[in-house]
Amino acid sequence: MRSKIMMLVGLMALLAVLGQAAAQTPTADDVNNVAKELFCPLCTGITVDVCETQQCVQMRSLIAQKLAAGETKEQIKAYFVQQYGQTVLGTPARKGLGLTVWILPFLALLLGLVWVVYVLRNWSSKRRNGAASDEETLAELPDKYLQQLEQELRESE
Amino acid sequence: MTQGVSSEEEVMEVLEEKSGQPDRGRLVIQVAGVVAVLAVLALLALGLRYRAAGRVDKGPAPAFTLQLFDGGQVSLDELQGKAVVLNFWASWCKPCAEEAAVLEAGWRQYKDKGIVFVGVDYIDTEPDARAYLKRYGISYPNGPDLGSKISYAYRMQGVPETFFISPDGRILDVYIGPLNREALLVRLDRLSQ
Repeated sequence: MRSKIMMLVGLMALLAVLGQAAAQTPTADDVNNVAKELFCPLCTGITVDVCETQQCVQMRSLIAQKLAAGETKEQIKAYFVQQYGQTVLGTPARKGLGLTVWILPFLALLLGLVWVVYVLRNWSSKRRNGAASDEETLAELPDKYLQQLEQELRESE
Repeated sequence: MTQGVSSEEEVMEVLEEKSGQPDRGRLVIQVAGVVAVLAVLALLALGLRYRAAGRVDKGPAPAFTLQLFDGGQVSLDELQGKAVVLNFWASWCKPCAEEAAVLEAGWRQYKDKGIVFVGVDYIDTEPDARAYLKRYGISYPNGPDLGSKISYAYRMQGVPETFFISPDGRILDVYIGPLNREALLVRLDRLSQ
């Protein structure tokens, strides 16, 4: 009886260990969830989850090892950035010449906004001053043109 | 009433003056736009010039510091006075495996003749790199090219590639592809003279 109990306890312990190991073994989906956010450092525009080069196969294997060791996605991405540089994330470096790629769109947006504000202000000020300035302009025109204008307006009515 | 305006041209001038006051704001925006476009073009030209700088196959060898797999580090500065064989490799690279034994044999033969071998592991995964070094019994200093900085500084074309650097820090030769014994020994003899 005692040996049966011991066997049962041993079996349960074994199942617990196997269950824990299974829980810690990352699935292909877990690996691809990280790999899809990394770019093959040797190819152009191909993410590691769909890349078939030996280097990508090795990277996926390393991702699996790191996930099994309890590392988070961000930690794994940071590791690969340290190894291969910023390009592995598919984004330009945030320093040197690469910094301009980050700054220029915002600079262009700012310039565009300034231009739009300027144009809108210009239009509204023209509309406000339009009537008065038209009258001033007409007052400075020679009589013969005013007469001609009035005549043409009469004819058109 | 007419204020001296007597021709159609003069009428048009009056109309233009009224409709188009001197516009400082527009001028500022135009200048800013032109400056922005010129700045972008200048940056593009700078980038293209940097990329078109060509191969590093002679002249002073770019300085580097390599973190080694065994925890230490080695820099070109501290190797002044010694000839250096700088080999770029990767564990996924089949031709690198072809030359691995040749390099190790060359290192063992020439390490007492003032020649240092340094292996730079290019775009690799550490467990596979370590397994590669163990498999081929590589004993000279090796480390990962973190951020691909060294391979970029040397404008490395692809692995395997080997740079032969003189004791005064100048690149004497570059060999692209797997080295065979004869090709390596010829260069090592030249370096050790």
